Amino acid sequence: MKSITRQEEQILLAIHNLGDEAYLITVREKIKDFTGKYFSVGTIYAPLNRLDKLGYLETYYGDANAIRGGKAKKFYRITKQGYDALAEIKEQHDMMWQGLAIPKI
Amino acid sequence: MNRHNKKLPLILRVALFFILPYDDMQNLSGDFEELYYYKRIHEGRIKAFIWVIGQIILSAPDFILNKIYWGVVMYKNYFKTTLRNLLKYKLNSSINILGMGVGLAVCFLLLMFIQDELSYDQYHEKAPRIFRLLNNDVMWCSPIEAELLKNNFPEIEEAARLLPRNKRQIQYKDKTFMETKFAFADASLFKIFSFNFLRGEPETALIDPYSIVITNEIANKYFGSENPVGKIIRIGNEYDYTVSGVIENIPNNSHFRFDFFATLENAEDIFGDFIYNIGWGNFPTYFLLKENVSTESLEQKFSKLFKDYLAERSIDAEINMTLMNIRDIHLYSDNPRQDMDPQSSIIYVIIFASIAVFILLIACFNYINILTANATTRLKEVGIKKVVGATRKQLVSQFLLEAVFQLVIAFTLAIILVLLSLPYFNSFTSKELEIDKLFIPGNLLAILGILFTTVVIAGGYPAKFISSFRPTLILKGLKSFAGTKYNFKRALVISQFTISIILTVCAVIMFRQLDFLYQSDLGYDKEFVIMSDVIDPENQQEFESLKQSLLKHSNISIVSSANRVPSGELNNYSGFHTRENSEEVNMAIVHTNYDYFDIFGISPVMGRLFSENMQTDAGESIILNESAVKILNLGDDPIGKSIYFNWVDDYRTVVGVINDFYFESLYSEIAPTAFVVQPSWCDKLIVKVKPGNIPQTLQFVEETWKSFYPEWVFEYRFVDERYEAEYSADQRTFKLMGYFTFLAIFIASLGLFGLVSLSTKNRIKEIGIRKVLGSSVTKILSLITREYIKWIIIAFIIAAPIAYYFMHKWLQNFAYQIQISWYDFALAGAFTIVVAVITVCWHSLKAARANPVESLRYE
Repeated sequence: MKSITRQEEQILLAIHNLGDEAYLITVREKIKDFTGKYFSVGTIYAPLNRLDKLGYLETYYGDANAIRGGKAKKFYRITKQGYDALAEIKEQHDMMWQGLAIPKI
Repeated sequence: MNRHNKKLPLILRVALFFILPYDDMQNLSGDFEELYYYKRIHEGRIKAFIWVIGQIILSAPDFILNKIYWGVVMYKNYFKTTLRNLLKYKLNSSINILGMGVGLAVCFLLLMFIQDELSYDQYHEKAPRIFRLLNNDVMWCSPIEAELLKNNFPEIEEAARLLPRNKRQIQYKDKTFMETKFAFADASLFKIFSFNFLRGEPETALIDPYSIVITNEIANKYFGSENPVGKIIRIGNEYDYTVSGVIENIPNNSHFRFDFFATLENAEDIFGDFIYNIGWGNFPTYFLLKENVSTESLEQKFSKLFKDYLAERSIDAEINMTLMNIRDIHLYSDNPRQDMDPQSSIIYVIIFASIAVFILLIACFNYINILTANATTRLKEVGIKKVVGATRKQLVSQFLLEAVFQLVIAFTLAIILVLLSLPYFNSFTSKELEIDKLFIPGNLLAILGILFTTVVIAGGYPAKFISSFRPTLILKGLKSFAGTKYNFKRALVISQFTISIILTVCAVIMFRQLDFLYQSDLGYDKEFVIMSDVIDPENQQEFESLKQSLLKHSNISIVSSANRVPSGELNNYSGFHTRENSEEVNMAIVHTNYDYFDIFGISPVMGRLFSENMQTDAGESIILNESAVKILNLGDDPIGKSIYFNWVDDYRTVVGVINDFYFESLYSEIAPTAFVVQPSWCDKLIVKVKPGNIPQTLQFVEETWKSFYPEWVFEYRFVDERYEAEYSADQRTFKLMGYFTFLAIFIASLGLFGLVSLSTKNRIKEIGIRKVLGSSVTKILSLITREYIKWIIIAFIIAAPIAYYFMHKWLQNFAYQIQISWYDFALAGAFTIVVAVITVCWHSLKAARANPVESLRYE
């Protein structure tokens, strides 16, 4: 299972949260909700692209409208491998964070 | 919503066009439009504009990195496939790489050679203005021309003479050696030529009498780390010279390379009146002309002046003076062997350049052929790739990458081969080439050009070709490559073999010519004659003594001396004419001692030879060879006739005529030659020994010699060895030609080999069917090979006239040539066919013997 970066992890989770409405702009908003910061378009795009090529995401097009200058939206959906990867991460995560009490120094 | 006036401004759209990745250009543009739209509505035009710019600037790095990342991944993939393909078709790949590597190596070596040859004497600062004087195309002038012409023509800025004396014994303190690169020179020589002075000044180095300039190597040899300037060295056990300068060793690419330059300022003291003798032709003369001087008009003026000068002294001669720029001497001299150092000829440069081009062509053709044939077997791979969505660009780049990859490996192999063979090549060509000479800018351009063309053709051709096919057809097996572009392949193989046949024919003819030269009867006996030095020819009593002492040994039959010995150069010329006809004829003159002709087994065809019994021989007699008699128009009975002899300004009587013999070598026609008795000029000792126990005889000679000349170094040569050395240059060329022919055939066969292996693979089924139908192995074999033999025959037909033309021209070099016969061609043709048949049979036999059950099973 190829390892993914933190940003990619966040984006996967964002897409999961968004369900059917996950495209670049909504993902960007979701990340803002998670982290409190707006990342640039490019910063969001790079992980999306890599995840797509890795096979953790699948894409489908839809909803071309006038606002977008006639260009279609590219929606993202997590694939089975994507979910497997997420599960693996969560497992690792739980294992590593288990019983962690942040010391108050 | 009214969309029209809320579109993303044009500038920004253009900016995006450049940054965004190609694949997602559309949807990302749409995203930007959407974001801009909402920003614009909520925050206004300006803020939206600024925001988008901000986004572009912030996103640019990510997008660009993204592009690079995938570019790298893609190339990693290409690389993997290339490597995998290379290993899969190991045989073909190695043939390709080997062939190309060898071809490139040969080209590199020849490139270095040619470049070196073309660079002779270029390094002199004033080279464009430095010329050598030639009289009737002979570079050996008399001592007076230099000053005479300089005084009469202001166009000459400087004039200088050289007087090569070749062997001199040099002594400093306890070091005594016999040096062979000794010359006298005018002080102005160093004003003309740019030799690098490590000590001393070029302008003044040879102004003082008895001054001498030496090279760095000599300085180290005699003086170690001492400063030689001001020290005195003893020359020829007679004269003391003061070292006035040290120059860097003269570079290899110079037409003369002496170690010692002694001044001619005191020439009168050393040579006496002879330094003014018109007949003494031993002085290469150089002029530094002023800028923008026309040499043609100057040449005519020179000729006229000198003719008049001679006429004033009652000498009637045809004078044709020409000026040759020093940079042309090495390659364009009329008599390359008659020079101070043996020179080369532009012909060799052209030959080698052509060979290099030929071999590279063969290698390139191979490369293209095999790569193309190879590509056809990968049709399926290409088909699938296309179906899966590969663009034409991707396919083409893949093939190009493979071609480049193989070429890079071949290039490395070539460099390694060059490094390995450079020492042998250097000793072979008597040069000192270094690998870094290969990589100078001029060459690099040529090399890159070669490689680039090969890549483009070898990679691009199959790539373009394959990528244009419809994948479905390929996959369905409906389209096969068996017959397509067959003509191209055929043409390539035929050209390769044409070149090989040309080279083979040339090699055969060269061999016959050289063999002819060796076997020919020279007209005299050169075996068992030892040559050494007579230290003091003026002292004839001493010489007589030496002679008698030597003759005491039973193994020594004849002893004599001379100024010129056969197999050496006839470098002394003088003017002669008869009493009847005062028009002077320039002929070679040899000064000899008695018994000279006996040593070489030459008997007179008319009259007699010199004899000690005849008192008059020493001052009055002259012997001519048959050509001399003819050229002087002496008729049928020349004995007793008087001949005027410029050198001594007097008449001599002809006492004998000897048969023509090849004094020098078979390269030149027999020169009309005159012989006089002049023992005091005879500085070369010649001893005829009996065969058997030569080392002992040699030792005796050495000991006897040393007893007469205790302070001198004894050196000797065998005359027949000296003769062989004359042909060394052509011998080398022949050997080189042989190697290249072998290489060309090797590479061409490699190509054929690869081709045959591919085509037999394609025809396995056909062969299987034939066998089933009852054909025998032999019949199948002949079926396959018949095709290729046809090709060879075509190649032969094309090659034969070309080879004939070149060899005909080459043979013109020789005064005595063999006849080109059909036998040469037959031999070359037969040889090539045999090689080709063996190559073809290698695979064909396997295919023909294959079990048809196996080959047809797949069906």
